[in-house]
Amino acid sequence: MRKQIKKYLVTASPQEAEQLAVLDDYANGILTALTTDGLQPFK
Amino acid sequence: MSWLCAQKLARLQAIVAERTAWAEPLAQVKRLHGWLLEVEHLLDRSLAAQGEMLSNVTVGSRLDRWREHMSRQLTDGSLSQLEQECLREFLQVLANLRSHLVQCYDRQDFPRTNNDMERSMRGLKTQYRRVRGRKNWNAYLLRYGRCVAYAAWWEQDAAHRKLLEHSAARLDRAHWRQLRQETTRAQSEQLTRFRFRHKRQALLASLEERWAILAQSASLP
Repeated sequence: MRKQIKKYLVTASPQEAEQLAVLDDYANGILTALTTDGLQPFK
Repeated sequence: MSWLCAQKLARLQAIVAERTAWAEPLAQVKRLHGWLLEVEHLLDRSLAAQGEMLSNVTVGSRLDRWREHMSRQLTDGSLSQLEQECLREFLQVLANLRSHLVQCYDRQDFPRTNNDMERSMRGLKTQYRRVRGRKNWNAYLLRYGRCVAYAAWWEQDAAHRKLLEHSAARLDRAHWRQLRQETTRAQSEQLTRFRFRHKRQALLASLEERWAILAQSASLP
């Protein structure tokens, strides 16, 4: 999903890019929730 | 044959029969484990021949040759169904991680494994806590991101500081801007992750707010 967003960002208009940035932040959070294995830099 | 001997013989035969039943699955697991060891041998700097200089390119090409060789085994019919499935998964994982697996050979003391990396991070954390007297380094890490590792590396001794001055003197500005952009982006991602873990409601609220403002002015196709 994040790879797709990054791909779209290259050709997106400024307004679309801002919306995609919000979606990317949300996807990043979801990824954080899914990836709990291993010692993180901060707890 | 006495009754006792017959009983023991029967028991032994039963044990051997059970072993026979497990012989093939055991051999299979050993073969699968052997692939892991082969890759470990390719990647482990300490297992290289004495005097051999490893680089990202040499290790990468060896790993690629191994992957090609094993890919051919997938199709030549020499493997069982289970082995094919396991090997396909293994090759997929190696393909996904390939770029990360062969990054540590061009620089001495670069942490090779996850354990080495975590030990290295613990070292940085200890150093910070010793210098600043604070137990928690989250704020420091959030503020400076990966730069904390760069700073510690450049500042470790006079030779590294001199190297920093030398490198900074002949820095390409375009390359510097690109690096700075990448670092800022990576740091921003780490910050989002931290906020998602520790200040989730506030982060989600801010995302919804940003989204609502943007949705009024434009929409995605």
